[in-house]
Amino acid sequence: MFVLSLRIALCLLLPFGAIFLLGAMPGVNLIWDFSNASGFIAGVLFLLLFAYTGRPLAQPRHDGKFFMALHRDLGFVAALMLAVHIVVMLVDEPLVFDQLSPGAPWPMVAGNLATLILLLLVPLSLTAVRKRIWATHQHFRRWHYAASALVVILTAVHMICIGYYSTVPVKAAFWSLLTGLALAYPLFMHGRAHTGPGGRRRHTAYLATCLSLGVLFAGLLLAAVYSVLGSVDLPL
Amino acid sequence: MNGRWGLLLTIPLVIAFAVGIRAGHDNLARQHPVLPINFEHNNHGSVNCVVCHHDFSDKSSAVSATGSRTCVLCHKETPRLAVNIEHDFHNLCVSCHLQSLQAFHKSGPVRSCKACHTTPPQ
Repeated sequence: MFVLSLRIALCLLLPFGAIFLLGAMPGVNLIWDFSNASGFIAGVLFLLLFAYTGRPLAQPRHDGKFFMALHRDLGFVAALMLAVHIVVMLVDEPLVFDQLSPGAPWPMVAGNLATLILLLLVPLSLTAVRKRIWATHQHFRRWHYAASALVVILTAVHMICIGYYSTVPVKAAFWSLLTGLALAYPLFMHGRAHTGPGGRRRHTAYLATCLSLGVLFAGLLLAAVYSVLGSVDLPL
Repeated sequence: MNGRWGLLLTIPLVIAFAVGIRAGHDNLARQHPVLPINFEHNNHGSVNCVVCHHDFSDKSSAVSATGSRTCVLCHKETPRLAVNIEHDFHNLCVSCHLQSLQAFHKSGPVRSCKACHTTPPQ
């Protein structure tokens, strides 16, 4: 569990540091920076969900329900961080409502489409709903992967083409590479057995929920710290 | 064989869909009203005039269908330019402001909408 928490923390911090802190752009203002950092963390979590797909992994040694709960709850956290990104921006800059129309610049259209697909993806993927729609789990998995792939591709277009934090070609290439790796991960890991010798801890799904809550608070804290750092003149 | 025919039919359909979406988007972008802009000439005294008023140096006609010579209206009333008006003007303003900001000089806004898009004081 400790290793899993550390792995998730690193998966959040490394891309955040690479895009936001290396060759850092000047801060815009507290609210803009907080909102955009929240959106970025949502993007990282979307990619992370391709690694923690709900299939049991060899480590940590928890039962299948733990991994299902981890995927579901990290998905909720990603959706919440995206909601923070959108709502905070709209409240601070009502003119951004203008960017929600289909005639907005293409990077914004991509972001809006990704959000709309996500709004459908989350409720339709809940166990109670998906069992009524898809006859087999295989069909659901295919549809879920395709819709999620579309979300992360549109998110990448939004994040790279909207500019500012990721305008530098190296950063754009880095994010494209991360997106490509995330999309390929479930395809290449599909046939790999995720089981190891020995038993697994049962009834630990609540731990996944606690971990996801921790990720939510850590994400909000990271966005807040970045926005404060971006708004003060450091004696560098 | 069926798969190949299906693919052959799908490609033009996808292209037609993309062209339709593009045309619809461009049409909406052209119809979008110009937002109010509070631009102070006095604050931009250090910028060479032809950076913005390019028509004087590149000898472009720079007159819109209605005869307007103001920067924003000329771009807005020329269909080819109207599609990219937001990108072009943001790029012109922000790139210069950002350069100044990164050199630790006093600068105009780089991102915040309401910092520029307000009704100018009368």
